[in-house]
Amino acid sequence: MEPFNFLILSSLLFSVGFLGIFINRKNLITILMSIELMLLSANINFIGFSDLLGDLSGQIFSLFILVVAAAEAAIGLAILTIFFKKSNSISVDSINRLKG
Amino acid sequence: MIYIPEVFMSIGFLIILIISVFVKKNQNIVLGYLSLLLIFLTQFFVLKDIFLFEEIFNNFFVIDSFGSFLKSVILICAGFVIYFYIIVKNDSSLNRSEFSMIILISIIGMMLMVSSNDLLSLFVSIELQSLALYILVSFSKEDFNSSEAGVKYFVIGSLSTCIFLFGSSLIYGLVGSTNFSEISQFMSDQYSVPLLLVVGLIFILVSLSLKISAAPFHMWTPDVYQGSPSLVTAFLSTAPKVAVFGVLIRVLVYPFGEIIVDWGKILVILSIFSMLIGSLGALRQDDLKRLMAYSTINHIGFILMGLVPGSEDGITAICIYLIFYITMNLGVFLFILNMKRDQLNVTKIKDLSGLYKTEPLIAGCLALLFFSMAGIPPLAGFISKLLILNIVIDNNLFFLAIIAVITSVISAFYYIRLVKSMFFDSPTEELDLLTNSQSKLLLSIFGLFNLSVIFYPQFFLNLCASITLSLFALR
Amino acid sequence: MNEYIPILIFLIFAFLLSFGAFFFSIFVGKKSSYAEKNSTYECGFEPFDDSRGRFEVKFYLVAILFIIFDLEIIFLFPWAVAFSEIGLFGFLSMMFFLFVLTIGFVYEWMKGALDWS
Repeated sequence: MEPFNFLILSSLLFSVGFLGIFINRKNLITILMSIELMLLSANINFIGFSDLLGDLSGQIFSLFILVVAAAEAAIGLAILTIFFKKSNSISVDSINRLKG
Repeated sequence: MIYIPEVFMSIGFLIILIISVFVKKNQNIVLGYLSLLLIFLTQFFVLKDIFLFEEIFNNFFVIDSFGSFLKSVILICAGFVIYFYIIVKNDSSLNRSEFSMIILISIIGMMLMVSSNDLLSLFVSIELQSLALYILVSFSKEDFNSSEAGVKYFVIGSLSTCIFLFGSSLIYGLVGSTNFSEISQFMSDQYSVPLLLVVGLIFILVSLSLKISAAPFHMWTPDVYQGSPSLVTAFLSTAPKVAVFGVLIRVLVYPFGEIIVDWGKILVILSIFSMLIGSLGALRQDDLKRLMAYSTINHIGFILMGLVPGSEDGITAICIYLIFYITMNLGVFLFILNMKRDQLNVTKIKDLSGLYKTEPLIAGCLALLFFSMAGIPPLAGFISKLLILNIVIDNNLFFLAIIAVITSVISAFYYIRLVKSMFFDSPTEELDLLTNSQSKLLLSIFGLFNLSVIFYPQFFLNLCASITLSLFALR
Repeated sequence: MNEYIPILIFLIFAFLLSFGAFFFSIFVGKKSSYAEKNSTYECGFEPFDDSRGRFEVKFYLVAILFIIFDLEIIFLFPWAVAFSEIGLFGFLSMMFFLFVLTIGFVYEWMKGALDWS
């Protein structure tokens, strides 16, 4: 089981990120951070497996994930600013206009 | 190389992007026309090679007729949405040069999605598509609801991306490659498929269900549909759905075709939940866009049913369903775009009441579209539902068929309620008259199409059957 | 030991170049001093202030634009490592990528996203 230890780490990180999205009631920025955590946990998997298999494509995959994560963070922050301008708050509880 | 539609489209997009800087603020329609031209030319390239089969870019992408067909459908959706953008007078928030640009980016993403043959290229193209859609949903700067919908869509969409990535990392670890051909090879070499691989597939399946809004992963749909500008909702409910279904079919049928026992059950559960929630949830809605969201969920459940057997006929039926579904949806949203009172957009269901007295033609066409959605013979929606049910019964999934019929009846109830309020209720406050003659013409064309399909269903059957052949025959 | 000679040459050049630039500017450059220049360096803020205060959205816009362009450069690393094996096609692909990136940059420039005022 030794070589698969990184799977435990990545699953833990993924779960922390997942819970961070759903338990967190305070701040939308925390959600962005949780998303980043989940993306990077997948990255750990890719790099770990790539090392284990002696195959480079996993590392290339992780580079792509890094770039996409940056683009996603940029767009997420932009959407958050628009939201903040309207509602003057970034708490998760302020997202409650649309329901039915 | 330049003849590959995506490459052509990307280059054309870059040119239009630079042109857009020089276009004056009140002349954004010009960009709409340019985008329409680009879509038209790309459509030509797609159709030219529709029967070609080729693996390109080191097997990262594959050109086959299934992919080309879906690309063509996606381009048609996008073309109509941009045409709506041109003909309907928009509120100022949509009147920015970026709008058609971002639609172009997202359809490049979708076209790449349906032809990807590798988890890496699939991931990047899904992201290209969804990042563009996040922006589109929160496009209206003045509207609070739009930004709220944007936040919701962004969070759910990113969550779906993360789940997809985690799943593909597991698959990569077990197979040693992310390429679909090699995954397929690995599967056929194995006597028993490792459990972790099934877990990886389930992760990917959950992520794609979040994207097509199949219940129980549908929670974001009504809010996002209601909050985003109507034009964006029209786009959101057609083109991305087609693209994600293309991906779903390609992933499930080709690399994971061997473990149909595992994913078949999951699809059954997804489709039962979607049909039930789609039809029951719509009953207590008073907003037309929210109702359309639930109606979409219901349709998604129906379409997923066709994929359960994983057979050629099933996928043919899905392709036909998708074509008819987008014509119905585009028609209804064209009307919603034109629904105004005192120059302001309204979307409540009670605003429809008495439409027949003021606009008999429009009310008639809309009724046809609603009846078609409900699956009442002899309209297009009936044919597609019949085909799917036929497949389900052929594969002895009687339980599924019974649920499908019951939910169809329930959903017919709320569509008929809409029609009743249009024809028989007395109007409380009248809507503005529909002065836009192009919208009128287009709406009647959508209505007529749904009515006339019954005379030539064989055409669609043959077309879609020859398309799906490529998914099975050449491998 | 022979393999390390290029690194030695590289180090010598780096050393000469940086020190050259440093001393050249001391001896040749025009010198003027004013209060802003002599104060502690802090990008755009008051150097000593409550660190919990809000700062302008403009910073954040530039940061977003920067992060994207910064990270796209990641792709240059694997490309440079494999450069001898990928041939003309690989070279042209990267040039096309950089061209697309440049168009993005030109777009944001012309749209005025980089104007500070």
